[in-house]
Amino acid sequence: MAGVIIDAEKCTNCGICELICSLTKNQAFNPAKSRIKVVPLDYLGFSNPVTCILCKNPKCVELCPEGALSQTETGMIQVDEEKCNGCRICIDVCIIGAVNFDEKRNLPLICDLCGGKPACVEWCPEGALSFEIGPAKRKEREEIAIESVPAKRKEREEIAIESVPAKRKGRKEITYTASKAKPFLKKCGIPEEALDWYKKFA
Amino acid sequence: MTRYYGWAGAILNVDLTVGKAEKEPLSPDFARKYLGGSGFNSARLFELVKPETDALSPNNVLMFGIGTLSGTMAPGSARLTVTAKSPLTDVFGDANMGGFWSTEVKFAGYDQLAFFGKADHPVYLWIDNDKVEIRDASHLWGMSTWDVARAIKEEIGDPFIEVVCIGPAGENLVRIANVMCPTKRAAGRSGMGAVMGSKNLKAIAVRGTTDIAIARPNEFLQACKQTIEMIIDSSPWYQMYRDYGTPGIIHTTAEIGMTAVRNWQKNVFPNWEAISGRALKRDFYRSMRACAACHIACGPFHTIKSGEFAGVYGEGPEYGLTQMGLICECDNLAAILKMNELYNQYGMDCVSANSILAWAMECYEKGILTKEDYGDDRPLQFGDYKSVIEIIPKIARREGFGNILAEGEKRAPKLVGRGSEKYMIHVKGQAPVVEDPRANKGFGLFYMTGTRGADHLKANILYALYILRDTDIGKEISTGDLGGMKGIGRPEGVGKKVMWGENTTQILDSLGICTRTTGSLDLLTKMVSSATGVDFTDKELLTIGERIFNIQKAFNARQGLTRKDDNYSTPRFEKDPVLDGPFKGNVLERDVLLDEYYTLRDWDMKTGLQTRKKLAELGLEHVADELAKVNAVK
Repeated sequence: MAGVIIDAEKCTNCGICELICSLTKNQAFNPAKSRIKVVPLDYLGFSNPVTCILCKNPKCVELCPEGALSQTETGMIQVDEEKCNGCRICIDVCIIGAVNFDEKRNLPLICDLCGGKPACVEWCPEGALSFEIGPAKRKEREEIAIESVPAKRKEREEIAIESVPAKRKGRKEITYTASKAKPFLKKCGIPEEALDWYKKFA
Repeated sequence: MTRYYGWAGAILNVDLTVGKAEKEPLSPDFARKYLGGSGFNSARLFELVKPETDALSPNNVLMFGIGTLSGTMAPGSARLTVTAKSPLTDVFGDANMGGFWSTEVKFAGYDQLAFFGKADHPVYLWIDNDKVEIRDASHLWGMSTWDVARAIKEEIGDPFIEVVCIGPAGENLVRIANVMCPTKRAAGRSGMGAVMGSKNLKAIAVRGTTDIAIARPNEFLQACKQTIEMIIDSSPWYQMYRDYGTPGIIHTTAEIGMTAVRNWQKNVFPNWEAISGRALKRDFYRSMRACAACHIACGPFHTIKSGEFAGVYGEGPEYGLTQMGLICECDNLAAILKMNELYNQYGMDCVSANSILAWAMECYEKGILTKEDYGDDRPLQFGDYKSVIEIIPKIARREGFGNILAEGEKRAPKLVGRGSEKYMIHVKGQAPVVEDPRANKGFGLFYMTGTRGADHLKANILYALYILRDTDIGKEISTGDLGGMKGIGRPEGVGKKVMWGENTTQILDSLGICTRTTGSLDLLTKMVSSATGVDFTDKELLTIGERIFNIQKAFNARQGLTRKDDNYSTPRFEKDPVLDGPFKGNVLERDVLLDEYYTLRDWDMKTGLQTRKKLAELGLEHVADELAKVNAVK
């Protein structure tokens, strides 16, 4: 099981992945409807494309109240559009903030690997995106799954109560991106405190 | 209600005096005739701003023209044009910018934003798709561009909205103030930031989450892919930009002695390598950043880890690095990066600023300016980077001698007098970048004919030659050495290159496409046709480009500009030969160049004024009528 692999340090923030994804899956250019979200830390020169990492035990599937999400044998998340209630709980519980939402159709937008040939991988001009299947990637994802879940449980309940604002990229993606940025900042000699401004929103 | 493809389909008119914003549908005829971006802006500016209007008065109109292809995957389609009457030159003014703000405006549903009047207190505009609010900015006034963008993002609660803003320079109506999209994107030239400041408009924040539809997506993507591959395979500059960004240009221009050094006193700067793209990459580079939809990614993100300027980090600079180094004869790259940071934070055009500083340096050298003029401040001197770093905030705040420098290329020498005027090089009130007009005759001509004064971005000959290379025109004007430097010092055929360069540039500035990522005219036509569903031809695009350039020219002609104004502030380029380097001995053949150019343009050779015949051909009869009222058309 493996999704699109991201090498964030190669990402130049061009956003071509967001554009081709929204065109391919939603028939129009609109990064707000992309299933891969480029999270820019503009002031720090670092960007992290965030998309479904095909968790071994996906929280979105587990916690969907309608049972509208399921996971295929290859690990891909599927959305049953009939069953979906538009509650957005899947957006909140995704540990890295990879789930997007189509406001108009009231449905979650989750990477489905374009049926095996991800368009974003094809178009990324920097080779920051790749698509490989292999055991080497599995370990990385498990570590993330263990780390984040317990800390988030309380927060999720609170979020479910208040209305979700129409932000393109939210708390989870910011936290995830900030953690990925640390080695880059170290190389640059930029202090970690520089992330504090972004963490205000996370 | 027209369903739009490619275009967003609406214009936002904001009356700041009254405090109202109105969304107006885009007219299909207007869209087809003027394309987008620079085209929309130029057409409206001619209608809306009269010759007697002072650029800093509420009657000036400030426009942000988004490219037709912005928000799509057309390579490098992130660009927008900011247009208004310029407070620096008092004629047509505009500035161009990349990044992500333009695409955000497009996704919010607008092809152009236009600002009228003046707010009675500092405000910023918040555009959330079709919800538009004019918000109080009194608490933001005085902030640097970096700080205000962050403050607004905190206020809105979203770090990923896009913000353009002015810094203290714009607020203080510094005539060379720019419009910034922090950290480094700048609509630099012509003092557009001062116009924004004169309207009490501190910033425009935007979030856009609506669709941009494409008429024929497969054809469109095919054209995009072919363009990308063409650039990678055959453009002479792809690798250089990819490796170094525009700081790499100096590798060619300084090496061949085409540059202007020490306020145009000489052409060779022996230590240019110290401020080159290679030096930047070796010592300070961390990563390359891209504009929206760009596969080249030419923006070097840098950090200074140690030394006097430790702690400076950010994106850029552009070729302005050369301006800061060569013209002021400074070879300390870290200091230049600090200057870059200050210009960005205070919101000022580094090209004009450094030209004015170099003028002041020469005046000090010649004893025209003395310590008394500077009071307690450090006098500006060649090579003294500390004096530059100290004075930048003072220009922005109009303090001390900074207040004179803040008046720009035309006015500062007049204020000083004492014969200082002859050391300021400009055309129509704006200084050029440091390419010698006598060395590169193309530059020599288009500095004079550029509609916003001297500037290097109205003709883009090198890119135009590449884009047009497979057309009849291209074959006619090409000397067969794209990217090579043979023959650029000769005047033959230059008029043609400049004319087609200027026309082609208007196409790109209207579509919102970067010169570096455009493959061929043919592919451009395919992209815009398949995106919009309107079947343009190559010829039609070139006509539109010519039309837009002519409207800009007409704006100036209506104010009384003629052939005499297509000239430098000094006759020295015509009289004094180049003293050193490969172009030694060259002078500028101004009359020969202008004669050829005006004839090709079908303008009157003696006055440089447009002919009614040409304007009618371009569908600009109404422009000809206006000009006739003031005898400005032949």
